[in-house]
Amino acid sequence: MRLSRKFSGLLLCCLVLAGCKAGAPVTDAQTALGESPDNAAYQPVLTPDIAVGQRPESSSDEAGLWLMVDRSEARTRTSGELIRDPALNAYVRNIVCTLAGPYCRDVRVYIARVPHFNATMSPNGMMVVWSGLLLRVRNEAQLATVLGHEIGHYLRRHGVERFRRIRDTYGFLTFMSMGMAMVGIPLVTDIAVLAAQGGLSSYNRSDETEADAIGLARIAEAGYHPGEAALVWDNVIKEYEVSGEERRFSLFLSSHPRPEDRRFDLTRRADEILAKPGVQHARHTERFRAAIAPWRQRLLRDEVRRHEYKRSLGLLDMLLEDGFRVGELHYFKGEVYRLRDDTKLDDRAAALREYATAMRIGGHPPEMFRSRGLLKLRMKDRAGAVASFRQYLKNRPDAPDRSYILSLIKPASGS
Amino acid sequence: MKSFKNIAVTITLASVLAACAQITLVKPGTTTIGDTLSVETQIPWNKLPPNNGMETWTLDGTGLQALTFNTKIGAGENIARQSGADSGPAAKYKNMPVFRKGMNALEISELFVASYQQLGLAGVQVSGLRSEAFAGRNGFYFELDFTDKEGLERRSVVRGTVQGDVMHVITFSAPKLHYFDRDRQRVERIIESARFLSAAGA
Repeated sequence: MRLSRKFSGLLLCCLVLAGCKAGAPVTDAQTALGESPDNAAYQPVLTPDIAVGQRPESSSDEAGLWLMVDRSEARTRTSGELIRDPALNAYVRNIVCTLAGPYCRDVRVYIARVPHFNATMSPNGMMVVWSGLLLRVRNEAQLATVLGHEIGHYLRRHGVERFRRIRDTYGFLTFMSMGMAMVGIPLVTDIAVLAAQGGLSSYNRSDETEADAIGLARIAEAGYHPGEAALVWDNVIKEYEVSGEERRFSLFLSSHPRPEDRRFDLTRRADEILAKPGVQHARHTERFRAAIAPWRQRLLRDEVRRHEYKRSLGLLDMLLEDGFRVGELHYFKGEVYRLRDDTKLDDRAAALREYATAMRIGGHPPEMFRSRGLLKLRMKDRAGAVASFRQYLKNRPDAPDRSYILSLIKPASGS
Repeated sequence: MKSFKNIAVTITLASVLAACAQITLVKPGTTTIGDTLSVETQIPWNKLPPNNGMETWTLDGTGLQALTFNTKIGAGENIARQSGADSGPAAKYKNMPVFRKGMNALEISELFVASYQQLGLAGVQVSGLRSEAFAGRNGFYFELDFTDKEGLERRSVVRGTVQGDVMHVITFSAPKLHYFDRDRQRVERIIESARFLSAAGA
């Protein structure tokens, strides 16, 4: 049953997910050719293909698609993964409204607590932002880049085009019976479904390029620095390079066109915009940091719990370069080393070093002392463990695991 | 296109085979869990077919309550007892944390939280962590609160013990609304009744 659920999810995701970064594997041939959008004759269209407040005519195939996506949205609305923090939602929503202008009311934003880099847009205007995105962009201009890209998919109705392509390939009845009858509508945040769907959900090259161009135009109009758009891709490419993950298994980097091409194209377009007079250069870094601050430790904890050690270490190093709240970043680096605990790589010493740095800088959560205690316990340094556990309880008198920590202290101190 | 067909065939076969699986009745009295534990129940339960060393009982369906006996989790194994893969349905097990010899209760609770998160459950919180006897041995207890994908608030009780290189765990999971409290006491009686079979208790 679980498998069939995934299968139906796989199918339906192809229908409902527009703007999802997942996509077809990059073939060797494409890589070898070094294809880039600018060497094609293709020119993106920036004008919307949908009117403000427009819904499809009830007799159209698009209306059927919207109906299904509306059902998906009803499930998304009650999903346990949604971050319902009003302040964070208002912050993201305001950026979307700034970028969408009169279409603001047609786009509904949901923030899902999924620690991967992704955002999706459905044909009916349901946008889902994954929390992993919030951890990975450095400022509001970069966040706006991704949101603007998703708005671009909505304005050009790329999801509808994709629906028709898939329907024409697999046959509507087959698709509907398989997608709908088995178990219903999947959640758009189902990472396993996204990972399984591969190329089925991918946009074609022109759709992605068009959405990139619309997003860039809209962030520039809103006063954001257009040069930040390419940096989003720059950061993502760097993260995957350090992770060692194969691209074809990546949700994000397997998109088509290649990320390098998108970075190149966005840089070129940004340069054109920057050459014009009167362009603004707002990044709104502090405003972004203030909005993310209440969630930062939770986002980092979610990242560490992915147990993708190389990727997390690479990401944390990049965030350290960015320089925002570095004390807690050192703590989380220590956590990655502690959890990996590879003796060949001397992870225990590395973890202790990171904890020490975090302590020197400050800004780490009290749980750092608990982690250090666990590590010392593992290293048979009972005195060190007890001292760390005591420090933890001192810094966190209301610790929910207080009695258990005391039970760890007792045999050590009583001996 | 080819991979799509492969997926379709695989899933269809899996669904057909799953439909053949038999749910059996656990009668009141003493019953054994594999070759590891014996437990006593005062009421009948439905037992799903054992899967990868895991045995799950339920009264009204696993979505409403699931009592899972997860025994003999070896070093290097995850709590889902599944091997990971780079792609496909098993991809979600690829980075799932594994049990390591010598883990204490706090580290085991961390392992569960990360595993639950990787299975798609957000905001998993630990509470009630303590040392507590399990089947007559030194063991651990903790609870996990989380919201499932459908937005339903659920709670799990996790009790177990580490014996040498292996971990034995019994998990009870149910929606906080009605079912958790309704079934908690009878489940705790079952867990309290757990004893190692002589051959397994060495």
